[in-house]
Amino acid sequence: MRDVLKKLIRSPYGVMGIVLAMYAVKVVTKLVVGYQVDSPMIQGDGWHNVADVFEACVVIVAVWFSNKPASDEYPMGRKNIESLFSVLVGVGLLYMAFTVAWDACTSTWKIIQGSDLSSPMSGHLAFWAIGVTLGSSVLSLIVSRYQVRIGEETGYESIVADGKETASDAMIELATFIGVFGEVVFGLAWIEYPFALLVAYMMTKTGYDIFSRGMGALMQRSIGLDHDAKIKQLVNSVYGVDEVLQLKTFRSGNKVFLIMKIRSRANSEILHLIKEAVAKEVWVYLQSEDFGDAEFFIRFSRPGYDAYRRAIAIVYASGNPMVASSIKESTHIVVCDIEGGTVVRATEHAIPECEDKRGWIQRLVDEKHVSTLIFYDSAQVRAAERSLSISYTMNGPSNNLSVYGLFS
Amino acid sequence: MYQQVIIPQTFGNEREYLTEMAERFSVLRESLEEIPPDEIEGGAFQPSALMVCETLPVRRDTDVLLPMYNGHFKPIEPSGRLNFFRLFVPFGSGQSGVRATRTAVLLARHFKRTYMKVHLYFYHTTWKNPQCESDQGKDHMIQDALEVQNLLERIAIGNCIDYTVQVDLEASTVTEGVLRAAFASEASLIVMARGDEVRTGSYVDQLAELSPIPILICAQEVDHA
Repeated sequence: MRDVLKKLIRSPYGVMGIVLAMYAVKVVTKLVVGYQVDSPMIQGDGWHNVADVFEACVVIVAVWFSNKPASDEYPMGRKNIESLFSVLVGVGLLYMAFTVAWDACTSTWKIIQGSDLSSPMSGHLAFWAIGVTLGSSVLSLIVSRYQVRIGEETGYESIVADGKETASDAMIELATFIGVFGEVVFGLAWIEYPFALLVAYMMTKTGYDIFSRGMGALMQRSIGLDHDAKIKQLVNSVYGVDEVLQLKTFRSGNKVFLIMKIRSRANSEILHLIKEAVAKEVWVYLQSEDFGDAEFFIRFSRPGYDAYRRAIAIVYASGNPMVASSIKESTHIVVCDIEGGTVVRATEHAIPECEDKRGWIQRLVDEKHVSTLIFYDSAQVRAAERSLSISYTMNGPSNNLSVYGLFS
Repeated sequence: MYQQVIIPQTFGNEREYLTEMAERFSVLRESLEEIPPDEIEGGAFQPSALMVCETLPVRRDTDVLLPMYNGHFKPIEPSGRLNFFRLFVPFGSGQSGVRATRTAVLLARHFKRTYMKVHLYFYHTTWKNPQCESDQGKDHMIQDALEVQNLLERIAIGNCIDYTVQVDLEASTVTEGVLRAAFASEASLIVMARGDEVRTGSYVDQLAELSPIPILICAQEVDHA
């Protein structure tokens, strides 16, 4: 029984049930006390809480709707309903911040003009008012923390947004309390207004954060360029990954979606293992950065056609071929087809005994579309570079053909 | 670590990569020796030499490191987690796992100087014992494999090296099981030895063909200690 109860109060519906109960208590006490002490401030707050009850009901509907599994019609699920709710809460908070700031400014102006804004509160009723506003504020703070925590744990953005809105309510209630307390104890009715301005600032900040997060998800904004860069770095470091060719990240509700295209030369038999390893790396990173659930769409591509031709000038010394050190010394040119770094085909062309050896080599490398011509000796290579119009002669590290992928 | 590290002569990025990998395993930079690729099979090397090459040579008298160069430089630490070196040692019921562990321990002691943490990861996959209902791989292991595991643990403990043992129950194939676990454990290097009794279908050959993770294959019957 205790486990069931524990599970219930840690579930999204359980937390919203507690929120509804809190608002029911608040509405009744605030409206009763507000009318008893004739305080428009407390009455207004009570009616505001009536609106909060409807908001909590909307959260419950949003949670229920977003919880429906992905289908053919909704392949990404319905988590964006929560983002939509976040946008609405954000706009609501910004509007509330504006009205709180406006009221504070106009009331301060009226006090400066000489108006008396104090309400007729006295005796034990005044202390009831103080008790209700302070108690309500503390209750809101506790419940908002609880809401945000459970919302983050269960991955419901709407509950988190509603929890932050409840925290803003707590600040407004605290301002109300300061106003009532200042008026009853010190006779300073104006004291709540500077505090209300501070509360309005905090609400604006919270409202903008919630709005921005919700809009980001609705507009499928990236989860952050810095996060994208870090994910690319992590994926690039997994064995078998040549390069991350494409990475798109976005959120839907509290869930992160990653669409990734990876270049890999790995055997197709183990691509699924590389996919698992990549997903695990990214998952661990997202969890460490407080992101909720994540879904990965990973595709692989093979490197492009990496083929070119390399020619090696060779000379036969005692019947064994080795890399020649000059055009003059060369007796043959071997043209190698290179694919993926490996020699897949090699053809040997004997250089005819003729006057214009350079011209013959030049024509051969042009005809065969050779990109590199290798000699062994650097001084001779420099001479060859001067004498041949091709600019792709190079100095090899050895005169042994096996170094260039040819086994003599 | 290795007194003589041999790499085949090559040039360009491949040379840089092989040299970079080879330097990590050599005692001194001077221990590095470049030889023509066609001497890989026939050359005479010290018994405790390490050969760093791209493809598995036929000879089996030296340790071989396959750095799995894919035309793209990859540091030996995966996952971007520097200063963390994990040696992955698959083992069976024979002595190959023990030989691999002895080499892995030497490597671990060598890399302890460079990396903040060095960890040994022993992996075994076992067939299901029809008489056993447990879903734990360990409960299905045969006595010989259990004895090997105990020995490996004792070697790790004796050398003060942290270790983890994972026993899978019926991995789809041994090669896939090894690679999946190696990826999952973010292995930096797989250390293996050939079983003396294997005639065809060596797991070493299969992994050398498939693994994107670097593999060090121990020489047959060579003890560096």
